[in-house]
Formats: sequence, structure tokens, C-alpha cells
Amino acid sequence: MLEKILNGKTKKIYKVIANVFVILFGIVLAAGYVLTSNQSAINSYFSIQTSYTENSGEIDEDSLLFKSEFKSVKEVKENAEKYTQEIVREGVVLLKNDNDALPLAEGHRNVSVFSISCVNYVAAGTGSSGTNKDKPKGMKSSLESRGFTVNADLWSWYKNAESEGTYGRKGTSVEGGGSVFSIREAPWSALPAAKSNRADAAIFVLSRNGGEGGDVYINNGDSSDMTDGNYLKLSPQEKDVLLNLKTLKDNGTIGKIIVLMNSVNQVECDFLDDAAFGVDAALWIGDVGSTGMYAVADVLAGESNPSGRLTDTFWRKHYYNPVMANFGDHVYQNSEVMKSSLAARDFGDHYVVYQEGIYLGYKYTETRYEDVVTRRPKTGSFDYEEVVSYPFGYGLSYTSFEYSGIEITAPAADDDVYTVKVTVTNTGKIPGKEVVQVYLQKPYTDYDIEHKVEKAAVELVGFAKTDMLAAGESRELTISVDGSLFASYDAYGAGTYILDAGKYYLTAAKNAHDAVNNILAAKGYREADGMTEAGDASAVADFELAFDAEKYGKSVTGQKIENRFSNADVNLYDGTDNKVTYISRNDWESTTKLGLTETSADTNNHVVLKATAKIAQDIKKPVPESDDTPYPTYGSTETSYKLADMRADENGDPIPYDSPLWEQLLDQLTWDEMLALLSHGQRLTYAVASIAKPQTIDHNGANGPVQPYGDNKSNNHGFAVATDDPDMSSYPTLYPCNALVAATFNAELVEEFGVAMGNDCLWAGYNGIYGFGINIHRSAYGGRDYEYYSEDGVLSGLISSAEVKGIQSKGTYVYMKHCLLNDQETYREGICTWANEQSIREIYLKPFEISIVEGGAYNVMSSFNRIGVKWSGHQGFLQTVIKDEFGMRGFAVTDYYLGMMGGKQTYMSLPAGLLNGSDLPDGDSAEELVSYKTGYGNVAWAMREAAHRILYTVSQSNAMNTVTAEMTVVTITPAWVIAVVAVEAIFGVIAGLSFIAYWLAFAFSLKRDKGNDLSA
Amino acid sequence: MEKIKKYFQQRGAGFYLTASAALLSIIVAIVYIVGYTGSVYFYWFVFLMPLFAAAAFVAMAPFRFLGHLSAFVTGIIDFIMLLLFIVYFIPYLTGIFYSGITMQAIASLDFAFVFTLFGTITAIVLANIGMYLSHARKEKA
Repeated sequence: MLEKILNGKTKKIYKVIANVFVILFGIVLAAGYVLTSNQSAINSYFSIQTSYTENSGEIDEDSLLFKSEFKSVKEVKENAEKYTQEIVREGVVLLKNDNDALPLAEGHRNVSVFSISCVNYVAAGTGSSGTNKDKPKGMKSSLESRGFTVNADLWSWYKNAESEGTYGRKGTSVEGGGSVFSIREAPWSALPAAKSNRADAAIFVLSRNGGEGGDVYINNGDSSDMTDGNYLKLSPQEKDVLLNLKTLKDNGTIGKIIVLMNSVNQVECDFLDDAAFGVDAALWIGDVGSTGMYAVADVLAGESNPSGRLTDTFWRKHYYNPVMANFGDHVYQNSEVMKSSLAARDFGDHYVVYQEGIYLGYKYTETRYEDVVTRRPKTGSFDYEEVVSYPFGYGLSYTSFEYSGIEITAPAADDDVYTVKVTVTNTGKIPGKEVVQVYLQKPYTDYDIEHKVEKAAVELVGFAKTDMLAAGESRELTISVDGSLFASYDAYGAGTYILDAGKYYLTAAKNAHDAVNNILAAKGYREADGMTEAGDASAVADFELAFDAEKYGKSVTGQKIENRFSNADVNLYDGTDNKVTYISRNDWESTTKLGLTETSADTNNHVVLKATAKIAQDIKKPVPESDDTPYPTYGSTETSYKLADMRADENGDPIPYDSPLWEQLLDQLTWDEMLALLSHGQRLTYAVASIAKPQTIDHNGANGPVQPYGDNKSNNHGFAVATDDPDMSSYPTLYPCNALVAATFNAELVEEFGVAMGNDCLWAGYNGIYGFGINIHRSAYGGRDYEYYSEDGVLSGLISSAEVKGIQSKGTYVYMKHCLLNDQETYREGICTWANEQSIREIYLKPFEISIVEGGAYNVMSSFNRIGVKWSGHQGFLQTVIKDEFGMRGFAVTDYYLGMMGGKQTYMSLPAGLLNGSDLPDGDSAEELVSYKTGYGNVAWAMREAAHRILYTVSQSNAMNTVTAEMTVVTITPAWVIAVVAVEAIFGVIAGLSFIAYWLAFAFSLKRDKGNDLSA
Repeated sequence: MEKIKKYFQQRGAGFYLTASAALLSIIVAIVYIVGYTGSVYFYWFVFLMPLFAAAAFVAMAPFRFLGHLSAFVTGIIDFIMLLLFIVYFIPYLTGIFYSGITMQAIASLDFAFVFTLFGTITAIVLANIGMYLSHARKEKA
């Protein structure tokens, strides 16, 4: 029978069928392997259920570990919008207000709004933090809600032109530095006749957009759209509109010209005081979030008095900024020796050198200014007023304030805190808030010159903001300054923090330039010496201190502080003859190079580095060596703790991180559980069923949660899902950019703002949040500047730590990112970032230090780039500095993990990372740790420590809100995985059967042909 | 010499197609090792499996029965290699096409990658066709 069916005629049919299905089976197997290898990422992306919890323990509202003040998503959003607007009201900076052009009084609010951006202003940048789909409220409706009458015909024209695509800004960053930006402003000639309607004021919205993955154009934009191809200059069309507005103002058609600078990437400010443009008032509003435009309208109307202060130096022209000589993309000379070490998204043959050292932003402009005034030799030519439009910390008000009764006192015998007391009086006519800033000047000594320690003329060390002061009202502010801020990092001498011998000045000031003028005045300098304005010597106190290299040589944890970044300093890295001359105030003239000309042309003044065999070797991913260290215990049944047991002991006291109970719980974990926990981390921490650890949701959001409240329902233990809230499909509020948050200079408000965001997280089921972005505004061209706070490390740290306290009070642990030196987007994946240790510790690391030490931030996210030649995840500082020195309690996750398929083709290494303080990949790497099951005791212990940190962090979070010791976690295989296996099985069976059929047919045909020559 | 000549004269189209597949497999292995040796994209299996495919053909072709199977064996080894090659080069491809599939990205693909990919596919197709064709000419009566 079988032989009849499988005859010679059907042999070829079976052969074809077998052939086709073997090929299909192979393809299905390969595809299935790829899919299942990345299943955590796929599950995360599509919010697919992988586990659920069953709770037999009793939970009521009172037993919740973290509670919300609100009863519904609607209430949470109303609260979030309230704080969004509060932040914008207090964060917008009044740059200019000639003749009290602002506010626009009632009865004088008939306005024409200009620029194509008015109908599509920038609410947030782009990228992982800008993906919130909470739609920004329209500018016109925002203005009208505050009593403005908006030129409707002009508005409609802009609306149509923008929606039809005739004009309109486009802006998105694309990975690899290939950003796509355009301004596409409508020229004056294209505008309708309504442009010349009579109006009390013309409001010009000047918008620029930045985002993740690429920096904005320095000189490579479309020159017909951007002056000199530079995204941060006024475009030809913008100039055209502004010049025509000036004509309208001159002929009385419009009353005044107001500019709203709607960008964190600062547009060159030289036009603001150029009489040709006739700008009367200017407000920096940053990226305002979804409802912040209402607050801008409040400020324009005078319902709110602006009290924001600049978090960056505003340059008249960016080419004056020496950072631009070493920003962006430079390739090693002789880079071909490195090529074989690089994978497709490893830009290790690119580098950036922070040649400016500590002289970043105001620390450059104010220091060089002081040295000009004091006639320090080799200062060179430097015209402060030509370079700086508005200094760091600057901001005007609709009222005026005076300082009096300034008392600055040294620490008492039993502490190390300097105290600055200032009485602020509102001397104007309307209520307002004032920011008092405290700046420190350290002595720049012969020791410093010898050991290459640099000192800025002023450094921000503290600030405070008054509450609302009525006209004539006074308030005393007390600002504490920690003595450790007096220390400087001496990388080339003591190798730790030192106090120099000499005179230290503390001053209360309105901004950085005011501060340096105060100190100059205290030193006896006057306007006749070249000062831009007189200082107030009475606002200054000085302290004579002795040299001390011990006092600040230990961290808050008692850890000895020593050089940890020598391999990031070209001059200390021993693998090359390359040398860098950092900018030094000892010789401004020869050490300061500008990177651009006035027309944005590259001067090629960047530091040139040559690749060497050592660098080529060192950029390779390290592979841990095997060792004889005995492995930890796995799968112990001696105890049966659940994660919920680890929160508190029988007396209700918290169980500390170093409790022996944790060791027992860790002993319970099997190798496979440990492996799974540490291999899957893309926007989550993995469930561990045996200890009832739920899967968590840890998602993007430097500007608030980016997913709908009810996203990922099965793993979402947020209140929106728990209460089946009718608005759970809506998106949380898009909060204002962090630069605007920092510009409030109001830590108390920011902490409340953090609580509002914490409530959002609690309702959205966010157990962890990938934010805040605390990298530094090293350049205005940084694509991701909107996620970051400031050019100043102390301000970034003090504000972010307040925000951290707020959000973590609701049980959502924060991942501070991107640790470290990820201050540009160009070639961020693997670029070698070189900087000296003084600048790293005093500027770039400072926000992380303050957020962790003061704010209690649980976690950090490491960066894509290399620190020197080593990827941040295994450079070592995550362990030695972030954890050991700063005492971070939680864990370090990588930036998006590039190590698919076993991780070979990437510079990131999970095992080497584990050995150096990196705990979890933001991605899947199921195979990379498998081979460490035997013979790598050190890696195994590092895995245990990483698991400890993750479990501890989760145990303290709102993930445990509804978890009791009776809870069980049930892991489930997603339906798509079952489908993949089923498809593989079906194709395998068909391929197998057809193959057998073919061979049987072949055998039968042989039998029939027995005796015949096969070739006959 | 005459025997060898006769041997080749008696081979059919299937033999020559499979031989071409085997030869192409060897070239693929050489191009791959030249292009990727010492780099993070070097995998021994990508180098060795085409050589195994060619060796299998050389070892099986002289025999009457096995000669018929040589196309299948050569093709299947190349096919397995192709699947593994693609699986292991997915990170490379995601890196190249991270910003979208553009002409610029396509142009930046390594020659060794392109040759290995299309050379192997061609070898599989040749071997596959070889499976359906005679490997030895019928002797005239």
C-alpha cells in the first residue's frame, strides 16, 4: 500500500515538498530563535503579560505602603497641570523689559502673534523622554483664557500654512548625529494683510527643538533656512519678520515687540539689544510642557511676576564659547588601527576632549572677566559685554528688590556649614519673588598653578527663593553652604580634595556676574578698573583658611576619595603620547581656542588625538578571567523568605540592606532565577516567582511618565488599573523641561513638583522611572539639553535632588541618567570622552553626587559613551565612586543594551560590568551570562550583589504596595511564544514527514530498479 | 589522466552545478576570513561551514549513490550556515540600518558581508537545483 503511494512518480513531488519545508523550517527556527532571544524587549514594547500575582493576604487602603492624595486619574492630572503651570510661572526668565513693556495691562492685550511656531510651539524635545502624547494646549486659547485678543486672521493663516506644510519647523534627532532640523519660518512677504493690523503688541515666538540621538546643527544646516547653517542663529526669514515688525512699531501700527524664546537650546542673543530689531521685552520660556503656555500667558498678563533665573550663560554669539572647539565629532588620527575592534554601532574611533576643564559657561566668562579687571598677566583680549548677553543666574522681575542685613558666618565648632543671611525687601509696586544666590571664590594659588588645579572666579554654592513678597514687604533668608564645597579636586598633586591656603570669599548676589562684581568691589576694584558695573562689597565676607589635604579626603561613607578617572584624562592615561593643554587661567591667551568663526566655520582648533595600538586594544570589551573563587549558595531550602518579608522585621523596623536576612533570601535563589533576573531589564525588573518578587514597570520619563496610566495592565499595579479608572487610557501630563524646573531656583516647589510626578507614577504603575537627566549643558547645541538642568553641577544637583525626594516619596525609584559625561548626542554610542578628574568631579559628577547623597536617589543609568577608553558600565567608577563613595542604595542599569545575540558584537559587557558596578542591562541578554555558571566565582558573587541591590530597591518601592508575604507570582508564557513554538513544531513535522516520504519513495524506487545501474 | 577526463565527461549538469556551489562556498569562506578576521564579527562557523560543504561534495561526488546526495548535503550545510550567519549578523544589520533603510546605509554594508550573504544564497540555489538534475550522464547503449 505504502509502496504504491510512494512510487517513483511521487518521488519528485515529495522531494520538492521536503525541500521547501526544510527551508521553511530552517527559516522558522532561526526567526523563532531571534524572537525568543529578545522576548523581554518584545513583551515590553507590546506590553505583553509575562507574570501575574495572586494575593491571598488582606489588603486595604490603609495598609498601602505608598498612598496617593487623589481619588482618580482626573484629579491626578489636574494636580500635575497645576504644578506644571507653577513651575513655568516661576521658571520663565524675563531677559529684557525696556520701559516696562511687560506686563500687558488689561485693556492693552490686543496682540498679533508671529512666527510659524506659534501654532506648533515646542512643549518638549524629542526622543525617549519626549514621547508623551499628552497634547499641548494651543497658544491662542491659552492667551485668550487670560484675556488676550489674538489677531485671528493672522493666526488662521499660520495654522493653515503649518498644517499644509508650506512652512513650519521640523525637528527630530536621528541616531548617529544625522539630525534632521529645519526652521522654515514664513517670510514677511508670505504673510497675509492681517500682519499689519493694529495691535498693542506683537509677540514673536522663537522656537528651536532638540532631541535624543543627535545634536542640533552648528554649521551643517540648510543655509537658505539657517544663517550660516547654524540652527541657533536667527534665520534669514526670522530676521525679515522682526525687521518688518520694527517698521510697524515705528509707524505706530503695533505698540511693542515681545520675543518668547521657546527653546532650551539657546538661540544667540545678540539681536535682543540690536536697535534694528527694536525688541522691547524678551522672555525665555524653554519647553513648557503640555499646559505651561497658560502660565506664560499669566506672565504676559502680569497675573504672575516672573522670578526664574537663567541656568546657563546666554552668549551673544556661540562662537565665543571655547567649548565649541571640542564639541561633536572628531576622529582619531590613524583610526584605521581601531577598525577591527569596532562593531556597527560602536563609535570608539571618535572622541571628544573636554579641553575647557572646569571653565565651562559662567566659570569661563566670569573668571576671565575678573582676570581682565585685575590685570592678570596672559589674560589676553576679552570683552565681557561683547561675549555675554545674560549671565548665569540672571533674571528680571516686574518689581525690584533690595538686599540688606547681609550676615555671612563661618561654621560653628561642631559643624562645617557656612551661613548666609540676607534680608530681601520688595522695593517695587507689585508682589514678587526674589532669588538670592550665594557664590564662592576660592584662592588661585601658586600650589594650584604648580599642580594644575584650576579655580573659577565664582561658583554657585547655594540659593534660596522668597515666598511672594508684597510691595514693601521684607523677608530674611538663610542659606547654608556646606564646607565641602570650599574644597577643590587636586588630581595631579594630592589625588583628592584639598583646601588651598588663602582667602575665600562668599557673597550673596543676584547672578554670577553680580557675584564677581561684589567680590571685585571687596578687593577694592571699581568701574574705572574695567568693571561692567560697581559691585557691593558689603555683600561679601572672606575667610582665611589653611592648606588641608585631609579634611575632605573621605566621602560621606568614610571611603577614601582618590583618583578614579585617570584613564579618562589624556595626560594621565598611559597608553598614548597624546597630550592636552587644558584651558588655564594662568595663561588664558595661549590655552583658550575658539572652535568657530563668527560665520560658524570650523576653526579646526580642536584637540587632535592619535590612535595607538594601546588605545585600539583598550577600547575592546574586557572579558573576565576564570577564577577559583567558590560560588555562592543557590536554591537553599533552609529558609523560605518572600520579598515582602524583607521590608520590616517582626517589630516593624526596616530591614537594612546589610542584614543577614538578605543573605538567606539570596541563598534561596537558584542560578536560573539569578540569571533571568540579571539578563532581562528592558524597562522592567524581572519577576522571581519563588520569592514572590513581582515584575516591575521601570519606564522612560525625564518629563514624566510616557505611557498611558493603564498600560501593561497585567504587570501594572498602579491605582488607575486597580480602581479601573475611566481615564486610564489617557496619557500622564507632559511636564516642562528640566531646564525650566531648575530655572525656578526653588527647591521647595521642585520637591512638591516631584511629589506630583510621583503621584502620576503611582497611578500609572511606574515602579521606577528612567529620569532625571542630569547631564550638563556643556554646549547649547546638545540635542538632549531639554532633559538636563543646567551648565552648573551644583544647581543641577540641588534641584534634581529635590525632585528625587518628591518622586521617591511615592515609592517610585529614580534612575539618574546618563552616568557619565554623556553631554552630547553625536556618536554617543561608544565615543571616547576625555576629561580631567577635577572637571569630572566638580561639574559632571556633582549632580549625581548631590542627588544620591542629598536626595537619596536609588539608581543610576550608565551612559552609552566611553569614559576615556572604557565604556561607562565597566570603567569602574560605578562601583568605586557611585556606590562606594556616594553610598548609592540601589542599582545601576545600562543605557539601552546593544548586546543582542550573546553580546559579542558590542563594546558593552554584562560580566565585566557586573564586576565594576553595573547591575542590569536595559535590554535582553539572555545568553551572555550563561557561560559563567562555573569557573567564574567573582562574576557569580557580583551577580549576587547585583541581585541584592535590585531586590532591595524593589522591596522599598511602590511595587510592594499590594504585595504581602502570602502573595504568589505566577509566571506565564506569552501566547506569541507558544505560537512561535507551535509554528516551529508544525513546520518541523511537515518537513520531517515529507523528508521521510521522499526517502521511502526513493528507497522503493531503488528496490524497483534493483539491478539497474543508477546512472542508466 | 584519461580516466579523469572520462570521469568529468560522464558527469551530469547536477554534478557541475553542485561543484559550482562547492567552489563558491570556498570563495565565500576566503572572502569572509579576509574581511572579518580579528574583528568582532568573526565567527569560526561562518568560515568553516562553507569549507565543510565543499569538502562534503568532494568526498561524496565520486561515488555513484553518494554523488546523488552530495548536492543535498552541500546545500543543507550552506543553508544552516546561512541561517546562523544571518542570526549572528542581526546586530550588525540593526547597527547599519539604525536610522532607517537608506541608500547611504545600504552602501555602507561591508563587501565581505554582502559577498558572504549572496555568495552563500547562490551556492544554496545551485546545490538545490543540482539536487533535481542528474549527476552522471546516461551511458549510450
